[in-house]
Amino acid sequence: MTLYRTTASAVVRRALLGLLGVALLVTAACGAPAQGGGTTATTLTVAVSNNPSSLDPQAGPSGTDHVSLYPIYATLVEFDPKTLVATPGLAESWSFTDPTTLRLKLRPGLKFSDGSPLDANAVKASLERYQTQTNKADLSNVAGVEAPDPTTVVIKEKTPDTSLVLVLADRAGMIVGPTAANADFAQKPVGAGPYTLVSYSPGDRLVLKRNPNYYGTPPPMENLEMRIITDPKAAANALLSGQIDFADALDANDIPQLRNSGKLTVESPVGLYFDMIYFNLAQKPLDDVRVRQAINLALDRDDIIQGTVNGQGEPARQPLPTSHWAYDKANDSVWPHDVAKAKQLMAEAGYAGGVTLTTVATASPLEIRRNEIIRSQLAEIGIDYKVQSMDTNQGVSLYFEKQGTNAAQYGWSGRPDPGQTYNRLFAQNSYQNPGKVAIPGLDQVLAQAVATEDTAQRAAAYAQADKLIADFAPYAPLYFRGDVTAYSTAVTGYTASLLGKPKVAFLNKSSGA
Amino acid sequence: MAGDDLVVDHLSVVFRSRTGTHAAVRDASFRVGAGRMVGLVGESGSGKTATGLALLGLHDPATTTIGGGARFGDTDLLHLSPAAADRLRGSLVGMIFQDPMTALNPLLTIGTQVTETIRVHEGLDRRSARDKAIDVLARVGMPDPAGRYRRYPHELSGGLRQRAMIAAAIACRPRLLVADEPTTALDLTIQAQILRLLRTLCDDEGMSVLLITHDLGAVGAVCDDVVTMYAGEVVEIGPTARVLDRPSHPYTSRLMAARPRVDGWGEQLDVIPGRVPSPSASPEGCLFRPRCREAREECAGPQELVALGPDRSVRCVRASDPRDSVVVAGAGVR
Amino acid sequence: MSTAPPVTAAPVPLQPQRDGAARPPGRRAAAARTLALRAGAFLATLVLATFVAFWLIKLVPGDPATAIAGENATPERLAEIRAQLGLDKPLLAQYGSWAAGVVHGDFGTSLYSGQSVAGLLAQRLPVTLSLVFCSLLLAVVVGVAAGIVGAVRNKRPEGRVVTGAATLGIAVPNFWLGLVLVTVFAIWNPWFPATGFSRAGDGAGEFLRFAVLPTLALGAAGVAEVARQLRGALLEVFTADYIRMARAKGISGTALLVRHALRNAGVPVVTVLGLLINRLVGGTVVVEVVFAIPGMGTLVVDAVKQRDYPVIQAVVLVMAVIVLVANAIVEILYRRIDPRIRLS
Ligand SMILES: Nc1ncnc2c1ncn2[C@@H]1O[C@H](COP(=O)(O)OP(=O)(O)OP(=O)(O)O)[C@@H](O)[C@H]1O
Ligand SMILES: [Mg+2]
Repeated sequence: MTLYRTTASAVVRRALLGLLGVALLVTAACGAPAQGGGTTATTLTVAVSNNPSSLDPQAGPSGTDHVSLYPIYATLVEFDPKTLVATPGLAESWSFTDPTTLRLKLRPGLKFSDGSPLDANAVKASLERYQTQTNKADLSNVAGVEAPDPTTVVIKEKTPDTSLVLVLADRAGMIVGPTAANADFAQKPVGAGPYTLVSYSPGDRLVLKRNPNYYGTPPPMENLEMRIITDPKAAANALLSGQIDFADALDANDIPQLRNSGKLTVESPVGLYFDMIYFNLAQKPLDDVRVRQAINLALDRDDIIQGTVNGQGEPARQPLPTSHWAYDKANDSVWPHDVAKAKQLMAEAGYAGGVTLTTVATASPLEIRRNEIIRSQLAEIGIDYKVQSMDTNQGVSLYFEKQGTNAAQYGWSGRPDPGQTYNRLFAQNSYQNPGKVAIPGLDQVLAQAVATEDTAQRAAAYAQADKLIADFAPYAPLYFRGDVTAYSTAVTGYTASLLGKPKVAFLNKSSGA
Repeated sequence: MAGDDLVVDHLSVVFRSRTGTHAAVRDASFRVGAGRMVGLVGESGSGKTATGLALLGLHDPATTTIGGGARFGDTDLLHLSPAAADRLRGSLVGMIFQDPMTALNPLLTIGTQVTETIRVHEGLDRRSARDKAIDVLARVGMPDPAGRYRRYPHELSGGLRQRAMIAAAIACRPRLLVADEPTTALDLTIQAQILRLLRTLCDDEGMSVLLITHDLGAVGAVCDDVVTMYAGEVVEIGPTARVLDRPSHPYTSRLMAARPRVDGWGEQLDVIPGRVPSPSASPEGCLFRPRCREAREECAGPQELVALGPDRSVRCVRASDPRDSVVVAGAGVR
Repeated sequence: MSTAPPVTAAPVPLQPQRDGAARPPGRRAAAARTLALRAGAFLATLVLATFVAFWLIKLVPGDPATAIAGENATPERLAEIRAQLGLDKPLLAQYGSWAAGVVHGDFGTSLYSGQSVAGLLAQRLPVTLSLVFCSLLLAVVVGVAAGIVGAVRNKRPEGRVVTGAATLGIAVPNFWLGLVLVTVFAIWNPWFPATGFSRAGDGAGEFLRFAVLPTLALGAAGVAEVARQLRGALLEVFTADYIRMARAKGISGTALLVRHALRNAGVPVVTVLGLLINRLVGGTVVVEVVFAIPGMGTLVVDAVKQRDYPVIQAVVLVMAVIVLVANAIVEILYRRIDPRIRLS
């Protein structure tokens, strides 16, 4: 080296000073006053795990939009989050005047957040617009809507279907304001929910404030900020650092860290969402009920729950979780883990020497872990479970449309009314039944189940359906997944929804925190 | 312009490395009179550059130990503060190097490289520094100096580049210029021009020049005195004409025999047999002894630089022996 | 290095007219020709990049129709959506209509949210650009300072610290570093926000507070890379003859280091900067997800999940433009520094 140290020492000193300066700048930046998320007493900050596809409830297709939509829109019918029993909403009461006519009585004097009246005509307009939008399939059984007087709405159905009531607790029941016709409605939505939108920056956040025109008890917090955080790890970090007060859809692996922080309440409420193996009933070897039964007996569901979601789930032996009003106790004893019996069934079906089962699944670390467990469990009864891991869209199209594999390993996100779930999963002509094989007697039972409003009668019908399904084994349900949810210990008033889409509008945050 | 003499007194340069120490220059003493041009000759590795760099304090003190003394007039060149050394380099003593292609900064214009010397030492403003730089370029014989001022080194021919480097080195009229093989990388005709330029600077401006070279022909053409180095030691000093006429050290005469003859294109060089001993592993006694045809027993003893007259000295036993002092084999080639 | 000018700049500033009179008459025309060639290459790169992206997404079966139709999908509905989106047309025709739209300034609308893609870009691009800019600034400022310390104090404690840190910095993946930074500086010590971003326009203090951790996560490898390259280049330059010559002229300290050593060492470092910008732009995808930053990275991640072709295409196009422009600027810089590389 030709440079003397002394020669360049001034520059080096300057360079070292520069490095120090950058460090100081960084430190100074952290000295700047904190603001926003989680620190203001009047603001509740929650994480939303998905970008809303649209703030217009009639336009967006995504099942994850509800978290963002609930605070903005009041629904005609509400539901008890624990049981999904319908309760009054914008409509204070309703009844089927005949099997195909639903008559709803609105609360008097309802207003949208912009002050315009929410009367029967507004409801009619909203429902009729719904029938022209993306999600029109939800109301495909609706023949017409009438508004005989300002507080009465009459909905005519094509065929008897009482599940319409809970459909009105979902997107279709979110009544949109008169500005819905405007092109920018999704940016400036108007509803009658507990909050009203102040600003929306897609991919970043929704800022909301209390809606003074809300019909019910006003929400405890003045402001609600919904931060869009799609990465579960980032959401966990935001919670741990106190930036946000509430988040769901977290990663089960982060539970210990969240718990140990001592600042958070962590729960994993089970919802309607369950993971399952879809069967193509028209393809070998799944066309044989003995093989289908054998698979269900060979699966050790507790083991799968432990191995994939750290025990945060409930075994599934039917399409509804145990806390649901239509859950039948008899299901508890369906499909116990019984490898011996399963082997025997395989032998009877002529597959004693083993058989290959092809399936698709999403390529994600969790799915891959689960595949491995299932693969080894099915190997015990001679089934070579061949999983193709791929992108979900690709897999859905391969299995449901091209019928390219015998089975598929996907979830079912649930519906407010069990009628929708049973129909979509098991009806002969459903998209979710690619083999188009009918389960003997089931379609009639399902029709009965939606022909009455009486929950006891409906539950009895679904119990009967469960028996038919258990005998036919048209699928292999695995488990209801717990939605890992965590919130600040200062937050009270959270009740997990069976629907799995958290309602955050009525959370309270004590200002002490 | 009467000036000062450079007095090099028992100078030593020792490189330290992980593997050990390496004495590149040992006990070197010589003098460059004011306004004189002195040739410092020797084979590759004999310590010529190490000597030159030591005079400018350009060795890295972290790896080099310098002993002995070197004074220019009143100035002790070896014991300067870093700041004082920076002030004197370029103003009192200057140095130019062998390859102007690599010794000029490729990213700066010729002008910048000349002006920066002026600005650092004379604190002139941009414009006067520029004017002065163009004058200096003219002084070193740069054609179209104002135009060349804005050129980059790669846009110039080798000879012009060397002139540019000389201009940068002498812009502030240093009293001593160390020219380390300034012509080796150039064509023969250009070589002569550059040597003549250095000589002119000597004569016209009273600048002392230490011309480091392999080329005894060059020394003979322009130098007043010659200093021969071998393996880090000065082995002979004397006025050029007399040394070249009658070398006193066998090494000098062998060097002369080894140089290419101007009239004998393509002729074999008379290569000196053997190799320069590694300075770190030098034996006692005369270092040239293993390669010397005249070697005798006394050569194994300690050797001193012996004065042969007021301006001639030699480090050879035979120098003090009247029988041998007159003629050495191979002399008189000139 | 090619000697043609980068397309983004007129050749004039590139080429200080040293002797206008002596300039051969054909030279200006030749320059114009190379410029045109360069512009053509630039466009061709964009077309190629977007087409390859288009083709790659389409190569994967499954399409946005399934995403758009949601859980209520019926085969009829899917077919309807596909026809609506033109997904039933041949690939080239689809690409063609997309490209034609872009040429007319129409990036289309998001298949997922129905928002205008241009609007989405307008929201997201400034965020990502500011993040990339901060990281680049960090890499240059800190990297250069560290590189100087590493070279000048080579083999001394400060120099060793720099070398060690640089080796480490290059090896650490940005998402991991991001998580560590969040844990230490947002969770253990609540100094910085763990997630989110604040626009520069909404106040410098807030912007800095939010930008610090993601900038560090994104830029650390750049700092290390610049420091390592500069240190290596400087150590080599220090042994160069022209440094010795400059010292022989009495040049020392800052002038020596900056004018002589740094400038020369800058040439390889500038090349590194070009590669660095590409890496930074790519790195935003990961870092924005880790910090939940609403930029182009999270936009494209979501868009890929949702098969939102128009959004993916637009992001690919914009990122390609950023990279190409940045590299053109780097090339200009390169020519500025080194007079030996000039338009000929
Ligand atoms: N920085 C250094 N570190 C260690 N050894 C060195 C260093 N510089 C030179 N040397 C050694 O010192 C000796 C003298 O070198 P110097 O460069 O002075 O020779 P020279 O007479 O100028 O030769 P040449 O004609 O090849 O330029 C050589 O053996 C050389 O290898
Ligand atoms: Mg030398």
